[in-house]
Amino acid sequence: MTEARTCAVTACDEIKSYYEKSYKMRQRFIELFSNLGFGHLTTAFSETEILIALFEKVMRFDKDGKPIDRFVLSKGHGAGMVYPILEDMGIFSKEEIDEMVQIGGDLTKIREFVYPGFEFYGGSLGIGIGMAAGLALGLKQNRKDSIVFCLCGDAECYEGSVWEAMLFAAHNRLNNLVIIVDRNYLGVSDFTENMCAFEPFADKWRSCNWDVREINGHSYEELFDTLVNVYKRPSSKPLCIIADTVKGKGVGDLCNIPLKHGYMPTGENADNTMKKLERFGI
Amino acid sequence: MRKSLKGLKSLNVRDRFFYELYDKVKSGEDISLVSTDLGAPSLDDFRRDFPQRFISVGIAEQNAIAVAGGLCLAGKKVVTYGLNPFPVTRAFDQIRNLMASLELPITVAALKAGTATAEAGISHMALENISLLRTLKNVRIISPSDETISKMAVDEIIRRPAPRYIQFDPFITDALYDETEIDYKKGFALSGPESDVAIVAMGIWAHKLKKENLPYRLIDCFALPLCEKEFCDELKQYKRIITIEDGIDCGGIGSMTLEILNDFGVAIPVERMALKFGNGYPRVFSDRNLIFEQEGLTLDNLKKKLEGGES
Repeated sequence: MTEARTCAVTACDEIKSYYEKSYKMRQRFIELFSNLGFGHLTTAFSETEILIALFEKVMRFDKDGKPIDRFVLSKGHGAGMVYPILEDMGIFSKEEIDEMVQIGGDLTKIREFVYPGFEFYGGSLGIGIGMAAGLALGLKQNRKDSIVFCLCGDAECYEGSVWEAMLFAAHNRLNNLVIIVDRNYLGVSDFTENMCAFEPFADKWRSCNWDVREINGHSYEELFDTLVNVYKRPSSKPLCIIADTVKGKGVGDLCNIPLKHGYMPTGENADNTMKKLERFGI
Repeated sequence: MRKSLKGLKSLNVRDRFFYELYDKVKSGEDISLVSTDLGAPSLDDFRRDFPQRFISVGIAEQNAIAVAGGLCLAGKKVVTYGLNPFPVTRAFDQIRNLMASLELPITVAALKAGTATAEAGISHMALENISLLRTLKNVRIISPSDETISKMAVDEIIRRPAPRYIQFDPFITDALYDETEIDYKKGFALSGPESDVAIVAMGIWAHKLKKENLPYRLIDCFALPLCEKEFCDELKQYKRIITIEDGIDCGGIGSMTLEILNDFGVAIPVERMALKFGNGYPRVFSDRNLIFEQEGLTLDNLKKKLEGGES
């Protein structure tokens, strides 16, 4: 086999392994949060590939394992998927995660871990982007070669504070800031384009002086290609990656259905959901 | 002392704060200031000499707190600066999540306390800020009643990083306290002679009454939450207490006094002088004096109450 051919096969195997990881993370999510009794399954499944790509492939760590890049999870309802991934990364053991994700589970450890590096904070929507922008500015001023990644929801962009932050980041030329919008076209009660249309969404970011990429948010090929390139981006503008996703991806019955935002199957329903969980991309 | 301060006998509390902040940055402190389209003559030197540290977000109070939170995560000490009541009322959710919950050590500096800008109407009166912020854990409230407290607030920001809100009343000038009289952990300062009646005040009223030098004990609550045990021990000594504040009556220092006395099981009569707006918010061109007059919040009324008469 030629060297080029070997590389291509290796790359292909690697991509396959990430899709397999997606399946396992979704499985683990169902297990963890059906036991807990509540969670945001459809949101977690919308962002799974984005989080895995960021945490397990793209973000850089120093030799002591401390993150060089920083991450802000603005869509706090998506925090659930972080637990299986941190377990997969070996940062927390299965036992530690099981202990944390239960009523009365101690969140201190994960909170210690997320400072600094994974400043994931959300819940109250529209705050994370401004926070990420401030962090990006501070790191620039400190002459740090770090990228600040921030994941937000598309329906989160109804919050006015998102647009305040958008203007601020562009004005301050925060080219070390990368916002990834999980564009699943769904809010809680309805599709975004029915409630109050965002489209042309990309143009809105561009008009605020951002670079924009539009990709398939479930495709590792496109995620890696776009995210790895953020480190050598010849631009003074912040970057918005609009990741086209499906809310509930992986479970056909739950895809693209309004009012499934806070849905978490338990008991028999969880078993059925587990059975229906599909592999894709392989 | 910097050149620009020479010859100035007194400053208002905001300018004292900013000049002090300038000096700290000059001496190497890593402090950034996030402004919501607001400046001050006392900030001109700061803007000129440390342009990178003067960060403008425009009239965007929510973003100011979020950006400040991010700067804190990058290791900086951050002061946001905005026009009251908006830094609290518009950005309350950001304060609640980033300052109270995450405990990011942001200082929210707010110009114009209480009814200081009553001329601009109800929208610009910071009537509820103290009440709102008292409901949050971990956020300290500073209301300087003199220059000394304001100057020492900057030391506090540097020595003990914590979420803080500081409000500046433009009509408060002069240093009335010695630094040895101010204990931020305790949160209140005493002045005036021993008496049967004590006055519990804050901000502009503490300032006015200290200057008035009435023959009554004055308890100036300049930093909340104050040390409740010491506060209660102090209150126990009086037969009557009158609280007076430039803010809404629900949740302010009058409420605080009642809560603390109740929680310690101490029964002393408390009269609260505060803004009640029993007839609704003002519907006329107004100013602070007119509002105080209409709400019975006057020195004459206070004196009558102190002497035991009814207003």
